[in-house]
Amino acid sequence: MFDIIFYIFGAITVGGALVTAFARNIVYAAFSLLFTFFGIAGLYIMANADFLAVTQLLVYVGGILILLIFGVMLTSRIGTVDIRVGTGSRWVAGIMALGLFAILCAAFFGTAATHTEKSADGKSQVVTSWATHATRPWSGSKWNQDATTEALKPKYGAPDEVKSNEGSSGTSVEIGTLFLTDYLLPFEVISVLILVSLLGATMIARKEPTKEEEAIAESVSV
Amino acid sequence: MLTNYIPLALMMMVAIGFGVIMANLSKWIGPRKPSREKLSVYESGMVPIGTTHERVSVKYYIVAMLFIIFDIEIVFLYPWAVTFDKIGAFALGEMFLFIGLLFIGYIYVVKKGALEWD
Amino acid sequence: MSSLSNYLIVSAILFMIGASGVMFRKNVIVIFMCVELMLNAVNLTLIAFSQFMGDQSGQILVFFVMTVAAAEAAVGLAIVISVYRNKETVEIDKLNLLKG
Repeated sequence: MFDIIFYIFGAITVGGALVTAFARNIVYAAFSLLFTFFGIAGLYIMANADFLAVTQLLVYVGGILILLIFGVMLTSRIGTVDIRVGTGSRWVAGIMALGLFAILCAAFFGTAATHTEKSADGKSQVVTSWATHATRPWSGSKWNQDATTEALKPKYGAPDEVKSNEGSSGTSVEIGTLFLTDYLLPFEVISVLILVSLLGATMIARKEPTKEEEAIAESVSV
Repeated sequence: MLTNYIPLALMMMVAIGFGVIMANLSKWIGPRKPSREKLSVYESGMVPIGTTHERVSVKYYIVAMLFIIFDIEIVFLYPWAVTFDKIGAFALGEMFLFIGLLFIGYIYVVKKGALEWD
Repeated sequence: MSSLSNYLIVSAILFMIGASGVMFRKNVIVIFMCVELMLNAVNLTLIAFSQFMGDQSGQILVFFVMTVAAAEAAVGLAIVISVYRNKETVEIDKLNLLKG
């Protein structure tokens, strides 16, 4: 069941990406990006990253995609045929893309990954495994156990404790804790980044220069 | 666990199904006798001028851009809000710094007149 | 059931499609979309490894990547639009003012 849902989401993602990259009509490309983003959000949910899935929808589908569609509408006459690069360089590009794929696969499956695992006596130990042979299921007990049946077990005791079970609160608590402890500086620096992009984009996309600025531009050019 | 998302999947299916069915219901069950008058563009009785492929104004783009920036800010507020009770006043100060910096940008945008429509 | 390798393969395919799109296409906005595809591929890898290793830091990194992507989209498209206003085109072959 897990595999089937995974393949569905994977197919949506890859299919949308293919249309985005190779559709002749730019509007089709922009809209098929929507499917890719949805598929990736689904994959995030399957990887137990529910908060990031919602963020993906909010930021990518609700924000970046809208911006891209505005960009398409602002800059292109709809129905323009997009001519790609010449045939010679197309071969080169295709070979380069396939080579990149090969390198990525080699890197992914040739690299050992370590993870911490609780052994039977309760001690945690670092285990090295290869991604190719990663028969080990997803880490954490959350993935393989049904959260509801787990929550209904009597060992959890009072209903309050069941309510505070991690399966229901999702990953947002962990992410928030990490933001305000280990990643505090990046968190604040990102606000500076957002500020700068806000100012920069407003500066660049502004409608027309004001009269003062025109005067300055004239004096500079003279 | 994945079973938690079954209601979500059901809701999406119902939403998509409802949209598709409602959009096509009249096409499927209604009688259709097309004529030249009926198929022409209806623009409140006026003859339409120009093409439908007009380019949109850059003003929309600026609003969309401001939206995405503050969208990001809201996304950062969520994990902060759920951990706020654990960390307390320190978290509040950090978030004030975060929002304060963006507020400077907002003031700049308003002063620059990017939000004025005309 | 090896979920990690499934994720990595999807991510690699996505990255390949994005990279080939950047190389094939001429329209700046489509190239932009393909860059977003590549960023998403990287995010997918990060999430998969974060889940595999049981370390939430990978998700934080994805969060930052998303923020940077949004900032990049805002500024990048603003640049594209201002270029379009001056040159009336978004085809990268025709934007060759700096070419010697």
